[in-house]
Amino acid sequence: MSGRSTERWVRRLIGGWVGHLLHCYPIYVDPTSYRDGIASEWVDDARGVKTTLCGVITCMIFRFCRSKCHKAFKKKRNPRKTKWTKAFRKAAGKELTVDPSFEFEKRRNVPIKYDRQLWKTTVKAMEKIEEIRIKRQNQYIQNRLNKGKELAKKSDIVEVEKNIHLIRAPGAKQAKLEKKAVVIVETEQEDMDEN
Amino acid sequence: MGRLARKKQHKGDKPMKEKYRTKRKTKDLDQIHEDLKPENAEKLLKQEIDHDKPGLGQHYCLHCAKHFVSEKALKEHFKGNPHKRREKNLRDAPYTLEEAERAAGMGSYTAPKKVDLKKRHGHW
Ligand SMILES: [Zn+2]
Repeated sequence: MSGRSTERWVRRLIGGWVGHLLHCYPIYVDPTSYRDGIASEWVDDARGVKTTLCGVITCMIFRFCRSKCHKAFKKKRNPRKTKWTKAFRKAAGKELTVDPSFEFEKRRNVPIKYDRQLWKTTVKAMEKIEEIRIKRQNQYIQNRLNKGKELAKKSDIVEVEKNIHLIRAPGAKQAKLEKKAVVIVETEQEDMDEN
Repeated sequence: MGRLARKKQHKGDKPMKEKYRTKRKTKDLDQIHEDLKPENAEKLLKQEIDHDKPGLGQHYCLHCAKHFVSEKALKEHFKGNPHKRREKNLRDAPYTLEEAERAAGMGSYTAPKKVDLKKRHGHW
């Protein structure tokens, strides 16, 4: 099969948009762990749903963390436009996007000679980095939500100032009337005294 | 339910057939993004005369991946809604595996910029 007709065939297999999906969904295959291209979450090997598309020709394997992602893939959803994905949350500024703690975990494609010491320190560091990363991410979300609280408080104050005339203390009118009555009585008394 | 109403309930495998039909399949958006690159765009806009294509393959809309019979038809097409809709869809950069990984926390994430179409082809 020539390259062009192969691609056409691939595209037919999942009804168009394949080319888009080819480099957009999880193609990478790793024996132990990989991230799901839709939810962008870690996938355990045992848990992943495996979909092979024309494995003979292109050897492409798509893996998903759960059927939800698999379904989204089959529907040709764009992860950037699907609200529950990491890609959406990051693109919309809902989560921490730029931070040095993201720079450790990367696909570097550089072979490293086995070194027991390096292995040990790396495994040790992984936990610590993960901890720091989670803390920073949570802090980011917390800060983002605090802003909303501030705004809500501000708008509450404005609303009260604007509509203060709607509420009066229950006894306010009574007290005023009494005061008026007292004044009238006093003036009457003064009048009587004068007379 | 009458006979005709019942008939309408079942479409058979027609929708599926239509879905997987490749007869009139045109390029997908990511392929068009590839075409919009200057070096590819130049080739597509100056094609050799091909008697099998509409208008001898001389009037091609990059965004819609479509040949037109004449310059006038092409100009008319640019004014139409299908072309404008296609342009709007093309403004979003295609999603990539690399982006998926960055979203997953493998490296910092920066949202892709909107694609500036005018700059990228400039053929009218
Ligand atoms: Zn067009």
